[in-house]
Amino acid sequence: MAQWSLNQYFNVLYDCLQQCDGEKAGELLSFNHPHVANQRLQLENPESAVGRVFEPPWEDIVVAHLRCCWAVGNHDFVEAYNCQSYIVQSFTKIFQSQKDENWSLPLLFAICLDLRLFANKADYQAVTQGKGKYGERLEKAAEILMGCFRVCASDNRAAIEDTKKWGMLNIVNQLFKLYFKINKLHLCKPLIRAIDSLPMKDKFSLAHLITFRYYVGQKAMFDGDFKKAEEYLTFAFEHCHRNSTKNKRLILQFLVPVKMLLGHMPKEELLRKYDLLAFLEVSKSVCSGNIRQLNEVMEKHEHYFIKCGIYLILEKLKIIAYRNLFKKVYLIQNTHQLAVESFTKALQWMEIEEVDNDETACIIANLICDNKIKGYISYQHQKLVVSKQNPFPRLSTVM
Amino acid sequence: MPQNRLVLCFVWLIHNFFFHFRREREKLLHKFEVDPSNIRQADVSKCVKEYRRPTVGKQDNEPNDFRPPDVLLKTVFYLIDNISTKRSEWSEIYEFIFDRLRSVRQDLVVQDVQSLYTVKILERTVRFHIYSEYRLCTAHLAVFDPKINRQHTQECLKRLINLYTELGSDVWSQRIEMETLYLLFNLGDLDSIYHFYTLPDQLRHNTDIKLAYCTSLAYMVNNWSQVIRNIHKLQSPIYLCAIHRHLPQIQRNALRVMNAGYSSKNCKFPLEKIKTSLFLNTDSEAQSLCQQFGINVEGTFAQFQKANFKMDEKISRTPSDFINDVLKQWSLPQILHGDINTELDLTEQFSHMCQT
Repeated sequence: MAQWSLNQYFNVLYDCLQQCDGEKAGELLSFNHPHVANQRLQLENPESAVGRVFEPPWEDIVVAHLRCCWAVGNHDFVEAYNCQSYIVQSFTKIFQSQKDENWSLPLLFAICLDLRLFANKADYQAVTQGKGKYGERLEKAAEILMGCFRVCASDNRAAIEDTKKWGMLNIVNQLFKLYFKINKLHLCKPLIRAIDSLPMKDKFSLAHLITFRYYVGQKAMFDGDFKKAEEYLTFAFEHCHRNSTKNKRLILQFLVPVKMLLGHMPKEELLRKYDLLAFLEVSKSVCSGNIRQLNEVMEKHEHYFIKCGIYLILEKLKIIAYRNLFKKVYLIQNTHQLAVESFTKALQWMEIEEVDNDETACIIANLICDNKIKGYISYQHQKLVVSKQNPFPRLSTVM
Repeated sequence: MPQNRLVLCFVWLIHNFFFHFRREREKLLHKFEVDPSNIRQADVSKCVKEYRRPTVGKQDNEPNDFRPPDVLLKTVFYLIDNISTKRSEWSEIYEFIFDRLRSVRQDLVVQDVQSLYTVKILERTVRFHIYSEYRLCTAHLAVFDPKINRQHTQECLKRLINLYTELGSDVWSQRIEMETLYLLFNLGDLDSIYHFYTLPDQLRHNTDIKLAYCTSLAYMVNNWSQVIRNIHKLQSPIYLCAIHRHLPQIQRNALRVMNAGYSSKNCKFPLEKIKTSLFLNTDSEAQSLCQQFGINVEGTFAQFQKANFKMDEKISRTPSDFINDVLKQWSLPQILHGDINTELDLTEQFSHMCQT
């Protein structure tokens, strides 16, 4: 394939389109295929050659694709992005005119994927050349993909096997990737709703479902809905292919902190297997109630935690660390009436700034209110009176 | 060129004259804009362009209608230095300044000015809105709409924050103040916290911004003790005004958790302690608050009982004596210009204390 002449390429592509073979046509227009490295196909101005074989509207697409190959060959991703966005926009029109058929979905997926990748590369290139801001093309690409999404979503008439709705999830996943990149998470909400209201929402391919749940779980985590985040990320983790270690690691980056917050601590071997040792330090310090150590770990890995967006979760994990620390105080004193002062001492020992009995009582009151401690505080005696039965219930039962 | 400028100035003056003349004729002048001896006649030196909604079909691309950035900044200074100090009801002053600042911002947007002028104008606008929200916190809805005021505050803050990044320099003198305000104004809000994480290191580790961030986190996990302690540490009056709007929520949550944490038939909790823990002014305020939420009060003590708490009650805002005292230390123009050097002031206070 890499040695094809231009005519050979044209003939194969032409036949695929004639035979409505979306899979193969998609490959021939994708950059995930060896033909793009073929120098005979990298043409700056292929108009006349293409015009001899293809008729509009496909002509425009093939012209733009060959020009795009040329641009990529020259490492000019800004131009490549421009060509690719032209391809997707032209194809959207063809796609819309294809009534009651969805054979071209694989083709759509292929060109949309390349559009997103080129947008990203082009933005990077533009920034390094000082010709624009990061995110400009990504944003534009999202708009174009939204156009494709609308065509898919509005295909209500076709029978279930011919409907373009099967393309929705793939496009939504591409859009998620863009929105997460340009930090416009609020735009995900209508997409999630559109997928959730589909009758066929569980029948998409597993790979797409996993990606979808991965992003929705992540968003739920950012919105503070940890139960939902746990459910979605767990699905993604459990169904992800055992050989995609990289993806499993990505999922765990969010699943581990969410699980910790819900009272499930990760096993050491799991964290070692996926090289997530920063979390090992976190979970150890949370388990032992060592807030000082937790603060140190957070400071040490600050940039990493901020980059993956879980810094805030770790801040919230401190509540669990407090609970574990207080449980230790209780176990050491081995009585049901505990002086607030002794908890304050423990917190001071953990180098919590300016902590006094009032703040300690405030933290304890919150733990009692959340059922993480069973008991009450007596202000007059400055004591915490804990229940004789199970004063520190298992976290997973109260979350 | 100078001649051209002269002609331009002249045209502009004439234009202004007619502009105000029209408002005079249509009786659209505010009482702050007229000649005190004859309230029907405009005092041209006091007239400020009012806000007009951009309507479809209206020809408003007349370049003479728009003031250049330096004039806009001067207008803002005029409003702060001469109008905010007038002896009138603040609601009246608020209405006037709000409208005129809005028109200033409109002129900025139309001319697409993104410079230091915009930054200076927006900073003052933010302070004005935040201050007004505190000053009018008990005002009737007809006089002051907190929701609209919040929208404007938020819009200006967000534009400012974008401008700081766009204009590309981290050393804008007031950026620290505005980033702090953004966190305090949006206490416990996820967006503002995620924004904090995107700040450059030197800003993230700045004392004021870090304090605001910690307060926001403490608010999130309902650590009222830390929140109130931090409030006492806020030095600029405008910070206090910004956080004041969250007090009802802080107090409500604190009371709910205290009621659960201290819930026992045999225990009692002094009202005085509730007063200090919840940043209230008096014991009787603490008492009425407890009663509002169904908490039993006996003498000077409250009796917390988990089951009695009324979840749906709302706390109305009350001015705080502490904040009032801080505000009194500065003149209004100082507060609105951000002309507050707290460090200097502290050393002065300190040396004063040493002498006595």
